[in-house]
Amino acid sequence: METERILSRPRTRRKVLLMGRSGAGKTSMRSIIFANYIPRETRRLGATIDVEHSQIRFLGDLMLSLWDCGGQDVFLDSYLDAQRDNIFSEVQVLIYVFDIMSTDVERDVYYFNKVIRCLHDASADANVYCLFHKVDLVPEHQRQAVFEERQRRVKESVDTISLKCFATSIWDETLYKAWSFMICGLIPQLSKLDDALLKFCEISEGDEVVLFERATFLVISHATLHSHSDVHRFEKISNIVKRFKLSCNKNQSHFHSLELRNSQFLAIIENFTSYTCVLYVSYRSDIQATAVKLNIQCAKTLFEQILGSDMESQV
Amino acid sequence: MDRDTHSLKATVSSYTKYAKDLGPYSVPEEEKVKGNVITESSLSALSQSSKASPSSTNKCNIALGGLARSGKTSIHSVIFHKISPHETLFLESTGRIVKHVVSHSPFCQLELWDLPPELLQSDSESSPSLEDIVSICSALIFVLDTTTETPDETLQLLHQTIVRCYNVNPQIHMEVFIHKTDVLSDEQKLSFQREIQEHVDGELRDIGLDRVVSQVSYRLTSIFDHSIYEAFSQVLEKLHPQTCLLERLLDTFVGYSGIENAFLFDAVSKLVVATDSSPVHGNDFELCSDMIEVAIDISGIYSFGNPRNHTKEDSIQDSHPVGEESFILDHWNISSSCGYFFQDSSCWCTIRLGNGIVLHMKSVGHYLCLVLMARGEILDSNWGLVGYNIRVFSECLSKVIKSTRCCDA
Repeated sequence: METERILSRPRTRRKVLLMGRSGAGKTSMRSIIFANYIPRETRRLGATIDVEHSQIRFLGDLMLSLWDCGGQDVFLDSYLDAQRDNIFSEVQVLIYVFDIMSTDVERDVYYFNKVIRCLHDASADANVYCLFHKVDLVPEHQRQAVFEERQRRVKESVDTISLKCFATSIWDETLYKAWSFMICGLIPQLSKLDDALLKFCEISEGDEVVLFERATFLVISHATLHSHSDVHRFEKISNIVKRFKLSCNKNQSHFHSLELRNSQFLAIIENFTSYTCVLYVSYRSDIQATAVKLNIQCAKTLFEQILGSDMESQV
Repeated sequence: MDRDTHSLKATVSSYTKYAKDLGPYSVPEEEKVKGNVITESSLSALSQSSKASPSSTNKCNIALGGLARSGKTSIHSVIFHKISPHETLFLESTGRIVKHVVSHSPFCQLELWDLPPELLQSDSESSPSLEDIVSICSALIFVLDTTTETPDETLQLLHQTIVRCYNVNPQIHMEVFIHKTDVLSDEQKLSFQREIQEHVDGELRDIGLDRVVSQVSYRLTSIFDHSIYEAFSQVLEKLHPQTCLLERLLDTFVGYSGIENAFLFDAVSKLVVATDSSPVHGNDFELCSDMIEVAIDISGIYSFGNPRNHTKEDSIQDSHPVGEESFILDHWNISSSCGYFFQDSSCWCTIRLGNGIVLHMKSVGHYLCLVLMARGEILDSNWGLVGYNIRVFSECLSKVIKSTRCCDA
């Protein structure tokens, strides 16, 4: 059944532009999120020449066509001029990456401004996200201040449109946070998923249930019954599991499931629907892991339906 | 390769001793899989025998030497202070002798002497001298930087150091860490090792120190992959008087529970304290230590997320490390939320892999973790037995630790 789904044509396509000046880290982040690179390996990546297209299947039916646009000034000038129609038409998302350590902020902002204007002409309703990348290079106590300063300058330069900014680094969970947010915006049935997940969480007497996309381990949805002090926990878990998956691959195997229990909590990570994984957490000591697993199996059909059907009704 | 011969040797030696103490186990193959319960008496006999051979106190002294910028301090910081490898670029050179005391699990009690490069020069007049330090050390790790621009000088220094150490302390284990090998291909690594080994062996033979040749081991290491942990674990296993005993305990455990491999980890540093004597495949060590890391990280996130606990003030007080404990955790560069993992002895974790292998981890107290690898179908029909055997194992482990402490006192 799974092969059938993989062979079937994806029903929803989304065009995502990844832009920014040369050396900002566009290809590095793309490789980490979608191609399972470890951060250290990205040093080997060379500069991107012109545009690299990649088709990424996300959650099975959602097709991201990611345009990784090389950022040298020659290319940028050509995107804004000769290739303008080709690049900026039918864009759903623009992800613009700034190097937070850049010394030439003037020029960064100048190009960003031009890109935004072209985008506005061709695809007016596209979402725009700005990533201020390589924050790990800024000393920790200055990060927030530097980020806000840069964000202010960028926002001033394009006051007409709304944009969301993130400070990211390939060395920690901030990158997952930003990408999860951006990709989730593309999933049409998100609110239905949220509701179903909350219900599942209540029925199975869990305290937290999180849904991850299986290949990228980006967070899609979560249900939390009790507030938790760590707001970055999902991204941390993405990072942890992904690192372990790489370690499994080295052993010619793959990660299947995890069960962890101590005196405080029980955590289970299992494959869920064909394209998702689920994390279940309960603080109750009388919850049986086997029962939870059975519940997860039972909920599978419902979630398959939610993830599958809504895409059809979209077309 | 190195690992294989090492474990092969261990197999032979442990089995001969094994046979003497207990008589060979003649458990038929299918019964092994079905499983047997370890009797406590057989294991307590093992722990008794340890009293007979306490060679020294439990603190091992290890000297770390090598040329400037070869990576001595980085090795120490990565393993024992959990500094991420790419941050070691910013570490300062060590200008004087620094003694690092590592005191994690009872089997990982070390004093590491980080030696400045000048000390190894023959004309150095500093006090204490290399001789003073080496005389109290049971091992010397010489870190040899493969990316060095002066290979001749490095080899010369290595040769000199080996001879000087041997003269002061003929029992010393000499370990050459051929370091920063992450840039080399597998073939290059091996030829590098062969070249260095042949050179050193030749020079030692030339001056009539043939017997020293067997005392020098060579290991390929890098802080950017798992090799540094494996190399350091092997050094540790060599030095610790209890290794043989632990190995036999694990052998008994593995044989009676129908599992493939068992590792005893020092949970804080993720060094392997002991393994059973069956051969270990390629990256299994790494996989197991990564698994512990996953368990620590997830425990760190959710152990204090429990809102129901906030109503009970005292339970939070109990579970937070206090006083000395939290000082120790600071010293290890571990946040107290992760530190909880090491105190909670009820923690266990099971990870299933796609190829049917199941990894099971159980903390057995004293900052030690037992990690098992087994086929899923065997483990699933034997959970009760395995659980019982783990309990017996950890009881025996406590006895071993107690008896070592008695000997020390």
